[in-house]
Amino acid sequence: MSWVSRIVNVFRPGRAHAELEEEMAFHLEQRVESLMAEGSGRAEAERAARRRMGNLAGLREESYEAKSAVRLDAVVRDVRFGLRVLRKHRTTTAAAVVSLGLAIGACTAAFTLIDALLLRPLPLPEPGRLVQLGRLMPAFLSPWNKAAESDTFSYPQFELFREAVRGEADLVALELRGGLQPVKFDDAGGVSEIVRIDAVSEGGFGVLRVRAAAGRLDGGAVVSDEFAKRRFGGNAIGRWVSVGREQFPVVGVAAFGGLQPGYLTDVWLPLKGQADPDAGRYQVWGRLREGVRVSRPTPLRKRPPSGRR
Amino acid sequence: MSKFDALQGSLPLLVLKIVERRGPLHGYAITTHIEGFSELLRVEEGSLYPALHRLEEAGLIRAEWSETQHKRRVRMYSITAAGRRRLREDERRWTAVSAAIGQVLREA
Repeated sequence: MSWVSRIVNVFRPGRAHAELEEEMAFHLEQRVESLMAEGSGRAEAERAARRRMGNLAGLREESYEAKSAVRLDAVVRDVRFGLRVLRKHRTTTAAAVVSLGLAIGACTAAFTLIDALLLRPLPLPEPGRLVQLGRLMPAFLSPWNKAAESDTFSYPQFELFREAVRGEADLVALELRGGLQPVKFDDAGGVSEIVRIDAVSEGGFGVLRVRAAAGRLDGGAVVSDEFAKRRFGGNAIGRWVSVGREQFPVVGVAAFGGLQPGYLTDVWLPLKGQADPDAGRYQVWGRLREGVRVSRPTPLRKRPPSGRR
Repeated sequence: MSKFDALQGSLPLLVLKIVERRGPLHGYAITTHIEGFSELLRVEEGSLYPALHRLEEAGLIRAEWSETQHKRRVRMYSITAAGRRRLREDERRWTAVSAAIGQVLREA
């Protein structure tokens, strides 16, 4: 007997039972006939045959076990029983479902966040080679008189770093303004719109290896493809955007939303570095050249004084 | 069960043998064939049908519905190749064991 028919027998025990019943009925008839041939009356023969046949229910049970996937049958019965019990104790069931739901939801949310913040690589080619510069500010330089980590630098500092690592890494300065700003697009008839604006230093998208979905990514404002679709229906290039008193042509669409999880930049402007060495508001990112590794920083005092080696 | 179950454990062997020699047969015919050999061999329906279905399940016999001359649907059992192999094996074992038991009874 095939597995299919065994499984069918579990869900439709009636079929197997009916076949067994038919087989038994035939057997009974034959027995009755033979007893009558030996001289018994019909009623007597039937009684005797039935007595001999014994417990039909037990027979059915045994034969059914041979013919069905009994273990599967037990599972089906357990499931049915479980459902029945759940239906009977509605409050308990509801409480269990709600708490399970909340727990699963919380875990999913937590994992999504961890995934976005820690596990998922940046959506750029060779994310392993991207670095972000940070520094430990000594307490005497910190406005709170406490040592603090910082990831922002002034533009002159960025330029110094860029020179210092030339040949080993390419650096890019980002001004992540992190907020909504009013701008005017030339097709809006003077109405301002609120968008998320950040700025990137010249050649920055090339360093990050951001892909251009259209146009070029230097020499003007660049919009994210998401924003281009949402705001312009795709044709963003050639528009002009006014930010404050400045105007920029939209020159390209970047297949890129930004570097921060959960925050999508709509418009990237060319970054104009402020010469003020105290205006430390730029993040510095870099892409290491092939074969270059980041070494652990060594404390300054352990280095031999320069020029006296 | 009868007061004296002479067939204890040997019913599958007898069923295989009868079905091999006389098959295809329906359940009742198997009973009468076995019982026809000796008064001692009484086949209980409660043992026969589960045994038939287990043998069928093990692939040792094959069951098919067919019709009698009186247009009655019956389930006919016949032996399979695997059943024949098993029968040879069990026959050998049975003969060996009963010879050994006989020896013990005679000589112990």
